[in-house]
Amino acid sequence: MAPNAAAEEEDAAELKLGPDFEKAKCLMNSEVAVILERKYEQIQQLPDPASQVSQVFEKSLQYVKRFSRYQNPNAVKQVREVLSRNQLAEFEVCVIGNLCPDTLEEAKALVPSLAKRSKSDDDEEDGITDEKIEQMLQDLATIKKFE
Amino acid sequence: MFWEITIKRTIVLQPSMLHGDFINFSSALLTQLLDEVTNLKCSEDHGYYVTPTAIENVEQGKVRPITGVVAFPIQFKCIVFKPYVKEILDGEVKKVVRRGCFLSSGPLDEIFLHETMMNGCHYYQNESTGACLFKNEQQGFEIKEGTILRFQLIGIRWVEEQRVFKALGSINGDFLGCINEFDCVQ
Repeated sequence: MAPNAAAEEEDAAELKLGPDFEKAKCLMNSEVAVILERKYEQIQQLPDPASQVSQVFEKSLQYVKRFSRYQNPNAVKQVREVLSRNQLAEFEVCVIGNLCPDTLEEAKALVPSLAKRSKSDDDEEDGITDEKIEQMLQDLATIKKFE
Repeated sequence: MFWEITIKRTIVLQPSMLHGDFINFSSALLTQLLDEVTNLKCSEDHGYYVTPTAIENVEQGKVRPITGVVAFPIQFKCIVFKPYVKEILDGEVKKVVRRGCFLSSGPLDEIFLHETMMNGCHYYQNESTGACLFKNEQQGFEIKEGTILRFQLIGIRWVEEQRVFKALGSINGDFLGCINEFDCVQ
């Protein structure tokens, strides 16, 4: 019944992301858009570019172009910086960067692993408090405004 | 979610690619790698292979007997899209049917949202045009072709024969459902 025991245990809410992904680099949609657009231009330089663009590539490019919250590559860099200041997991950074929650409640609902860790506000060990999350969301809103 | 991971593969170059007055080795290797990634398409462990971003290491090639092809073990970085259970994604409605609707999020384009996974939504069909949609009268939104939804993946199934993932979604939950579209680029 269970062909792959590891896959059965994967769970985004618990940050169980699979063996190959624990140390991998997670990318926000906006970052993927920057990379894929550059890549697309590179592929156009190759002989016979049409056959080199796979369906998966095309669908991904369309998707990230449509669902990127930040267009300007500099803004994308700033977002990554703001989010990396706190001790968030790579996956959490990218979920927040993609979904752009406006409020603390929304952030906690969309990133359940965040809610679990920020329960006790005085506990500095895990490095994230409600105030820090709110500050982070404000910083992101500011970047969006001045992009 | 998109990731950048490191993958090891063996790339095989045909003798014809290594022949001629002007051999552009790195271009031949890159072309072959792009082909390889396109053919891989998707795997259960890594998800959808989008594109290789950088070749990190190329080992000494080995000539294979009889065919004369040269095999190069290489290590490269690749962007992949891997879906997770309970992950929250944005996606577009592709089609509405009687029992629910089909959504797509990038390469993951077979996500089914069953009518029981959208509380308060009722099915309507325009008899003259045949157009159908789900309507939530309480919260005042409609789900039809092209609607942008924020949903949670509640189940994922790997289909080996087609090398794709099929998924089930749900918009029952806080902050899920229709999202303000002006945030997105058209």
